[in-house]
Amino acid sequence: MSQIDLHRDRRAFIKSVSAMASLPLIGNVMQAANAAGPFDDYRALVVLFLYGGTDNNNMVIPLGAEYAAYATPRGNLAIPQANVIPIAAGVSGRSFGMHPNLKSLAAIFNNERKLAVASNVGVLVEPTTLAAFQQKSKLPPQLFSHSDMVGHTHTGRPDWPAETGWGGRLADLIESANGNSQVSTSISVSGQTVFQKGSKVTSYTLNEWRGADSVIVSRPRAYRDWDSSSVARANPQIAYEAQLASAGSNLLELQYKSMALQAVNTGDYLTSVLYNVDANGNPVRGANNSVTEKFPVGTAPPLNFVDSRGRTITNKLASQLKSVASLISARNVLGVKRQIFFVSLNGFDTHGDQFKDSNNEATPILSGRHADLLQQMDEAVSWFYNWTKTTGVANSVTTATLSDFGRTLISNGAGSDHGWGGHNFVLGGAVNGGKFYGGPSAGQEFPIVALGTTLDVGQGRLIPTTSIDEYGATLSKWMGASNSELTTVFPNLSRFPRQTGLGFV
Amino acid sequence: MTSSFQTRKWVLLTCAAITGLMAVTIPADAETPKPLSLRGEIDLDGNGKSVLLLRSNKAQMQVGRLVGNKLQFSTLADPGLNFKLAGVSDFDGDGKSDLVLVNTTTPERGDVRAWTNFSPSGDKLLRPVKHVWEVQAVGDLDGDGKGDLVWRYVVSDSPDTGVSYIWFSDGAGVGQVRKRGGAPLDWTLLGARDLNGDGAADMVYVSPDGAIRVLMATANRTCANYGAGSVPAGFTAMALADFTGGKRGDILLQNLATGAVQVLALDATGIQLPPPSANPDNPNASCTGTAGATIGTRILPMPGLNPTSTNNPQFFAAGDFDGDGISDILWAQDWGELVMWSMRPNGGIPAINYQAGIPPVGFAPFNAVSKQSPYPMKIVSPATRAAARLLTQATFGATSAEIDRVAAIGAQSYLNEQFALPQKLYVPMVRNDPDYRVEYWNIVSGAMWKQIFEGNDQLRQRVAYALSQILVISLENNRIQDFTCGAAAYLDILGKHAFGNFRDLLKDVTLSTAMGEYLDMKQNAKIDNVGGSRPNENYAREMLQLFSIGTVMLNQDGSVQFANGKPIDTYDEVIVQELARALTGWTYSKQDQTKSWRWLFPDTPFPGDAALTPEQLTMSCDVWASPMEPWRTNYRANDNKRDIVGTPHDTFPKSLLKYPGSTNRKQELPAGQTPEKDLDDAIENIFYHPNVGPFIGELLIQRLVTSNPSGAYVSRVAAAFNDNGAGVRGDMKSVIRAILLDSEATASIGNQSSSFGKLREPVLRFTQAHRAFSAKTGNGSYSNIGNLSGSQQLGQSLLRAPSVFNFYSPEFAPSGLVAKSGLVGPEFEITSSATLAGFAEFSRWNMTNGFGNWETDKSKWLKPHYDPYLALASNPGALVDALNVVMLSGAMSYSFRTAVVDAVSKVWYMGGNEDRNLERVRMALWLVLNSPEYSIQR
Repeated sequence: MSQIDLHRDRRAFIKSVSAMASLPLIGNVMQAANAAGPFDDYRALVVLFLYGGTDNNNMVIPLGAEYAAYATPRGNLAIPQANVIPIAAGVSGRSFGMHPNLKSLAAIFNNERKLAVASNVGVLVEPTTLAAFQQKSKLPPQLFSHSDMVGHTHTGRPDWPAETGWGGRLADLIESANGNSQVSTSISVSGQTVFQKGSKVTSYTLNEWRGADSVIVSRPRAYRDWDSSSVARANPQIAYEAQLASAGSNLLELQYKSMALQAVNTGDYLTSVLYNVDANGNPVRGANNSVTEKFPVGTAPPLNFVDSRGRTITNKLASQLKSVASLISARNVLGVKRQIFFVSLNGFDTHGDQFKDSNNEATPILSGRHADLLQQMDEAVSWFYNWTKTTGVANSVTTATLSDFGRTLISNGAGSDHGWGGHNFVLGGAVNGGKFYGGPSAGQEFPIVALGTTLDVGQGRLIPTTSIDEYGATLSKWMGASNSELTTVFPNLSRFPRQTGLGFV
Repeated sequence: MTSSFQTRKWVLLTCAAITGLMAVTIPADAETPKPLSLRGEIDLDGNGKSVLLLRSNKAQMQVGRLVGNKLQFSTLADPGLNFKLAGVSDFDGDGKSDLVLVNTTTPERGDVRAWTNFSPSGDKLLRPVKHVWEVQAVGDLDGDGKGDLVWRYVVSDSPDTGVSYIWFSDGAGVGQVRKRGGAPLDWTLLGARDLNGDGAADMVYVSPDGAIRVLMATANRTCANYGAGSVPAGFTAMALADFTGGKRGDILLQNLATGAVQVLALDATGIQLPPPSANPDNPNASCTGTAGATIGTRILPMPGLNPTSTNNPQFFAAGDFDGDGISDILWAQDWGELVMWSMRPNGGIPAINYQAGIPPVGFAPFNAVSKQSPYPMKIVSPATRAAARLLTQATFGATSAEIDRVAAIGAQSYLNEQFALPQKLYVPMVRNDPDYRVEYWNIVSGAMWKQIFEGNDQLRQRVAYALSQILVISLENNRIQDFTCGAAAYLDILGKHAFGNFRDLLKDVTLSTAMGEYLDMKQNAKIDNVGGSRPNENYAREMLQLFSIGTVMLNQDGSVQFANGKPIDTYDEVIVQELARALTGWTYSKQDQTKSWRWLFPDTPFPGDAALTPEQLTMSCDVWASPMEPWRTNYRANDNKRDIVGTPHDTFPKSLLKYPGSTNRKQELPAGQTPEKDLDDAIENIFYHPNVGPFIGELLIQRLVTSNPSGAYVSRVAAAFNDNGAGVRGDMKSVIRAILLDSEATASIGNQSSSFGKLREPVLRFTQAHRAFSAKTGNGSYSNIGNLSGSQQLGQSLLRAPSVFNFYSPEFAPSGLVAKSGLVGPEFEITSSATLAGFAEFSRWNMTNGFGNWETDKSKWLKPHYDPYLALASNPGALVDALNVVMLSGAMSYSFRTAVVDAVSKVWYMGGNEDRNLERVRMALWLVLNSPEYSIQR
């Protein structure tokens, strides 16, 4: 799975405007937005998207009396009870644990209490029930489709054309806190996203992957170096940049131009902030082609990962989080008070290869794709959290996960299929952790994991008990959106009970 | 205009409708010199001295004023990056020049604004103008004491190409707008100066072969055409200004090879203009007609410049900087210092100041330079343009010879020729690759690259490649990468049915072992009541959502059907589960089905295993190259604990898609059907869904032609899908013809909508940049190209999508103009600040001069044959014109061409002309590859 964004609904609305005379003008969606702030402090929200739909059932696992109802339908997907790491979630009369590969995160949950679990969160247009599901009412469009559910999770508004994302709408509100900073409030280390699409704010994209010593910002700089080769006098820079500033008659061409201009201008600026640069604006290279970072991150992130097939691969999430750490370190020079970062980990669509496909494993489910992905997340995210502590910004940085959807409780033999509600982790110094959030009442902060419950729409697919709206509103509020502004970020928020958020941060 | 345009003859001429009125005489007082600001020069201060106007591409303006013998620079307010400078003209006639700007951020048209006296507070809107127009001359064209603007249509591919319109100022805004003459775009409009002393500036053009023509203008806003000799052989016209103090226009000439400089003085005093037309205000009165008399010229020799000297002076700007009434010349030396020639009356030797000041770095002059190319633009014929564009849409890139050939035979013949070419099969290519067992991870893409770069079956390959982005498998899946025969066989399926029928395509894709692996249809068993597992829904869901009908009901034009304000879904989760059940029971071919555990642990030997016997090696490929087979005996389930009774195919009844007419199309599958029958029925049920035509049709249009086809275009293609004219549904040749020959695909640029076209995806840039120059490797292997998906590489590669959703969604809309306009731009999903920078770097080192040019073993080099382009490189204009055809299908704008020519013409190389020419080709190609104009295929 990769970044997905299906706009069939948006185009559908646009293409059928004549049939939809009562529809308000799409362009007016954001007109009421007022600027939040100003703010004295610095805060960063790091959204980690687990693409493909992570198997929620194997991240947080019920123990004790509830274990059997989990393990039986899971069959070959069940984590043996002995391998589950117990966590102290404080839910009366119930006990839980985490996947054995979430060692560091479980420790932060148990000991520092700085990791919270928002349970059974998912895409909703309004609170719904099993009866409503069976009547096919109150449902998000294209439930269970990757592209649509990723889109809905990004937009935070499943019943509306995908014009903007909730990260983008939040950035529109808070960007004034950053004054005249030359960098965008929204920064992606994982390509273009709908999540960061705003009405005003255009996100900036850092290199998705980098080696240990390469730079995180790229500039279209080949033309600047042309002179330093044996070619003299010619200056393609003028021709290149003239094109970016000149007119065109085509919308796609104008779009391309504006993106290229941002690449040149922000790229030049960020490079000069983060590195010692030469006369051409390029980072100065030392021995072994190394560059000097003005804001070194310190402890090396866990970039190398040995997977359960024994291959050493790059932990791309660790690499992305290192880039986030670099920019957070430079926050004062950049002149920013609020930043929204987007990072991701791909590969969670474990239909056919959730565990290691081998006859020789005693317990195949303990290794293979999902186990590897969780361990990469555990290593990268805990490194990043520890870095915020060492740097003294732990209280200013909150990391929160999102995913396409949860997965079925039942095994299909080799893996699990698309579900609905899933669990999200929130981590940071400001988090009221060591607890579960969500559910209708005390004791029900975590859903009953079993077939045939009132939340099971089939094969253990969970009706979400917390909406993306409520989950995102909690994070938006921490970032500085007022209660009234939360409805700008999540226009459907008033349909849900917890309109000022869940309180985990 | 049209016939003269095609024969490329000069056509401007006397005003239409001459009706015998009295001849025009020049009033005596017209000899009084006008203010400098009305003579086509820039006078900011109203003091009769020209200033040097400079602008950087970061939207900063500087002005240079001559103080003593040095230019002193200071900052001017700039309108910002959203605006380009259109021209400088004394619009209100107050003796101080005004700035004219165009907003470049709006599609199609931009607002033209004037900043009176260069002041933001003097800002006013003039009127919007289409972006195809450019100001090419300024001056007082009607002698009324107010500065006018001459716009020219600078995009080829329109009957208007080269035509000029004058905006006559009425002092407050634009008064009359008059069409005044037209010339092919390869004629340079040097500017406007009064040549006969009547106070009205006259327009001076130079043809590609040096003929000078003058469009004489009058106070009545009439005009007439005259010849004025020609530019001497070897010389290039650099600028038009009053270099002799004769109050007339003179042309500065330079021989770029020898460095010789001359001034060619023009004097039309006493020329009797024909009488004005009966109605000089007729907006349609164009200066066309027969040629008039010849205007006198004089050649005045000047000091020479040494083009081989290290300071390498280049023409920089002209203007009366010292205010003595004679225009001066600035030359730029290599290190930036300007040399000023202070011109003397009547061709006297100029006073030369070698230290006239150093303009700030990164700024380019705006005074009468950028509009005059010494390398006139070659017009691309409509037939060539049409052929080049067809080949851009239908192939991986074409040489100029192929473009010429297709221009001669026509689009229909080309498609027929392509349809008739035999298919080259990938399985044998892969199996016979010497690296089959060693570097297996690159040999499938290596075979694809080989066929792309060496094969003639371009249309089949291009359509198959498009299909590989719709019915996606990926080498990112380890097993698909390891068992190369599977992906090779999958490509053969796409290639075969690219010219076949969509129904067969859907069936063969469904049964292909590679797809079975990728989306889990292989080894997918019925509900296991003992172990509790149930069928995997992965393939069933994506087969509906991505490969055939999509998630919502469509009209034939691709628009969505609504009920109660909501899109109507094509299926729900139950249908996905039913379809998944219908597709159960399939596994790898050639298995020993008497062994129940072979269901779970099939015999598919890994070809990289050195211990394989020849028989095992053959079987390894055969298993993956063959379609999946049903498992007919008892099987063993995945938990490895017990045997299950029965075969893995689900034999209960299934309910499939319901749609108008579906009762005849297997909407209900009865109990007890075989896996084969269930599969055939399911394919039939899906294939006849009315969505398939518009859904697949629009996706293919997006891959080949444009991201935002009109509903009518989609509808025409869907109609061709629904019925090829002989009653056959799903005929791919019919669909391909409908897509490529549609009027929307072939419209001239002037007739395109502002949303037409598509962002060229990186893989296609890469192939075109090599194929245009017949690039091939010496050793015939292309495995060296490998995986180019990194963001510092192409960010895309063949058959390496990160998921079944391809590299981008067909519905992706990047934030900004595209999203705000309700459009999509799929390829923008893999375009970001990071990838733009990555491509700039990658294209420089890996695409100009060919991929692998750094290899020690030169046989691995995908070597482009630049020879014809190297031969052109001594004339940068001709080089860029040739690239315009092979890379941009002739759609290059005049201003972009000028910018590339300017950059390339300055390439100078210590090693001599051979190296210089290669570097010129490389730089021109790089600038093209990274330009917005090239990036949008249109």
